Amino acid sequence: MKITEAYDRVKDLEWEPTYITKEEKSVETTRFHLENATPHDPFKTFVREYCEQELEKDDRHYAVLEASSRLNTKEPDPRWMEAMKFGLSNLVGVEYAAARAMGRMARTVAPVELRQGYMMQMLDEMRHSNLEMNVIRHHMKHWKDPAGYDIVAKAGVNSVGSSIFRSMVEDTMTSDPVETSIGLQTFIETAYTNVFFIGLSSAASRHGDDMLASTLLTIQSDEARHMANGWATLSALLQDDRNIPLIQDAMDKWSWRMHVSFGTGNLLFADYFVRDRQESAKEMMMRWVFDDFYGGFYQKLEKFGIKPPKFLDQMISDQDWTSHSTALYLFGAWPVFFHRFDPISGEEMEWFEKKYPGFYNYFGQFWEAYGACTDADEKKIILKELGGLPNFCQVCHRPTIFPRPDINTGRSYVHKGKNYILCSDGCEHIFRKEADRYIVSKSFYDLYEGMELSQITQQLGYVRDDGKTLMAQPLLEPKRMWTLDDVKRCEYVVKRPPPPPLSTYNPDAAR
Amino acid sequence: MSSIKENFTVSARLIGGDDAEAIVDLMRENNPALAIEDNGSYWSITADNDDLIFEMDEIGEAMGHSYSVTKFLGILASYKGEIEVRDNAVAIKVFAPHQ
Repeated sequence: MKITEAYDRVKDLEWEPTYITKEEKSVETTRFHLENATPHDPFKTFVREYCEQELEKDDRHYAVLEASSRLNTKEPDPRWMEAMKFGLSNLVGVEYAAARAMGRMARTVAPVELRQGYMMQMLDEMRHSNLEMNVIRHHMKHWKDPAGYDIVAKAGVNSVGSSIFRSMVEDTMTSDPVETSIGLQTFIETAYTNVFFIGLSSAASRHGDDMLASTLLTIQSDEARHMANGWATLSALLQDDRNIPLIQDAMDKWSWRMHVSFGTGNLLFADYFVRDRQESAKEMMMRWVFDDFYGGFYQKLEKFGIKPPKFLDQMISDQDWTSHSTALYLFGAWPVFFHRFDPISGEEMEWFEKKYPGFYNYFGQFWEAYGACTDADEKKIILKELGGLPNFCQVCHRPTIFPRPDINTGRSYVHKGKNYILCSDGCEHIFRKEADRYIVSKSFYDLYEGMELSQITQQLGYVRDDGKTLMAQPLLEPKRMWTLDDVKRCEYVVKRPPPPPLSTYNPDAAR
Repeated sequence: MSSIKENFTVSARLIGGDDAEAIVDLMRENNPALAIEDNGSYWSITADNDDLIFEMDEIGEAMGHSYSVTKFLGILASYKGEIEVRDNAVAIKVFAPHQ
């Protein structure tokens, strides 16, 4: 039987149970209207074909992992391998959250055509979580310094860098189930994972990490179906005019939310975790996200009444400095991470100056200071030279140094008599709509104010098996590895910085 | 979106390997106007305002053995456009939604 014929017959097997109401069956409700939609599933996925397809993919991918243990290939680039300890720690939780999101969608959303796609996606996301854990395990077994790879799952929950991703996924997992589709399938999976899983797979391969390249590509091959799920959901929603303002709200929120989380990560990885660069992170993002996604997809929704995202202009201009500001934060706070850092060279700074004119003027001093603070015997730590860490945004958990520390848009906002810190108009827009959703999370200072830096590293569990040497190091091969005592001798105690001025953002200003 | 240019490009990105190389050769032969890039770990096939149709019988003939939609979807890493899975083909069409 042809796929198209079988698909129509299977759809007819759908029924409404009489022993339970619709509301009891779906458990959660959605504010979106889908009851009269006639959706279209372009993949027409059946369990039989799905299993065959995924088996084919797994056979190809795990053969690569299996063979790699017998192949005598040259050592992968250490900058990349060390940075992936942090990089990969962010992914596993994201995949699990996506699986939960799809379970909620399958349970809540009415049309049978969409439900099948969501159920397959739920299985995919669990597959992805497993694929990532497998490559992490592979690296832990084969990389010359496994410390950091062994705690990736824990670090994904408690590291100061991972809170950016964690806050995003927890927001996604707990939103209106249909709104979650817009955040996850439209923005993460149609825009941002293409850069991450395909663009960076090429980088992984160039840096000798073929295992991760294969992992990322096989994951993205499932994302192709998720993109189709996203469009199937969105096109069903667009059939009902009552959904237009709801979709617009969701587009405004999630475009920004993904820009500050996935977008920030993509930019950092593409500029600072690689040595062999073919294009800048900004060039990569402009091509994959702004040309492909916004120009090739989003712009065509205007005929349905969907306007460009409220903060699109800011998102575009942020591409100039985000990677460098993020690197400043990560490298500056190196003792509370769990990988060896590899600072950029003079030659790399020249390359950055060509791609980002003005780079040396704004960031050169930091890298010079960093270079002077890598010797454990000198008792100088970059965090102290910087004057400490900045404030952190209550919504996205990024430090308030964006787009660039000297022109940062951090602000204070008073809600129910308490002062909260926000990083941007975009995060303030989100906070104003649902403040109670975001005030429950603790900031870096809520957790660590008053603590000496080595105590934080110890509390996080980022110490090697000898109980004294830090997992993180400021260089790939320092003269001597830093220990907790070395950090303690620098006498850095976490102090909460003064709050920024009150916000002057006007939420009613025209787009 | 004044600084974003609307475009109608269509693309398929295939995981690198023997299957992808054979498909790329076939597509290049069928349509020399396609932009084809070897990115190391993956191939990129791009058309400007034109659909990309991957016919399994044609691919199978080029490979010397049968080929299926299932196998093709196993190496399709990503696409840009509107995808449609048919009985014996995968089409990636220009994305132009109608109200």
